[in-house]
Amino acid sequence: MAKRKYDNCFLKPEITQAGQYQIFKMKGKDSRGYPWMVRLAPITAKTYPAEMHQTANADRIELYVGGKPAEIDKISGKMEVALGEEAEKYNIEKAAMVYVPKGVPVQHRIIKDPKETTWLLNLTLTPKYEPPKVKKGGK
Amino acid sequence: MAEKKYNHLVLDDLVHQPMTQVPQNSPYLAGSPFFWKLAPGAVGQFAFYYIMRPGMFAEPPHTHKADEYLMFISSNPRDMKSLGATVEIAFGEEWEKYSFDYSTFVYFPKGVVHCPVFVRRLERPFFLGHFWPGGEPAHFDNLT
Repeated sequence: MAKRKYDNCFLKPEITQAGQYQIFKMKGKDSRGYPWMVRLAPITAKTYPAEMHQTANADRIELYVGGKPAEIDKISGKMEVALGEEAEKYNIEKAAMVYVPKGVPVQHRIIKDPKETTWLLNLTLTPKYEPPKVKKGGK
Repeated sequence: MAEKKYNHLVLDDLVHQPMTQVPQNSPYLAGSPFFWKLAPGAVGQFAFYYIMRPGMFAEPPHTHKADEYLMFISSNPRDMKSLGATVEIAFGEEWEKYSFDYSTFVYFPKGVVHCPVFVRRLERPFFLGHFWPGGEPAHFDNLT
């Protein structure tokens, strides 16, 4: 079949097995060349990030998502996120977003195992998009 | 109780209701303008929700000033490859149609016309996400 104009716009994920579940991961670079990454996995002891300090050279987002479409805000179980060198602790018991700025360490711990599917979406971001400066016309 | 140092970076009020009267999607998760103002240097980058019914998305053909990715991801944790749905999406001024039934990211380079999106078949809900890795001024001008 002949190649079509926008075929390259469909990106292929990396899917890995973790016990009985799978982890979805997609990596890419924006048009400026900065790398980004997205990872989606059900939260289990095998898929939840380890307790070690994790520091990245980019801003990141963690999004906790309910497993039922009509109740996206309700998650099962209880997770703990610790931010900074001080390991300041936050409990996650409903849908939530954690914004982790570049260089800030983060640790994770499952306090209570989810009994039903609960998702963690991780986004690794690129630097803020700055539009080109436009010179205003004048006399 | 003492104020925590990173409290402004943890948001648990991020559920927004669908904008249409007969919603095709679940409530969606996204940061609020208030949140993005509190997180220094951060910009809004995403919205994330379930697609629950087949049919045509409400968005008409449009472009963006920065790259956008649409995430189409299976909600079956044991099978992240099969989307459980068949989706058609149109690119360009000519509405060149593409169809897929697997988890993927669809990349829209800045300035490229895209939409409509049509969910032709749906066996089970799937995730849809909008992702601007570096944010996008057109969406978030009012936050800066």
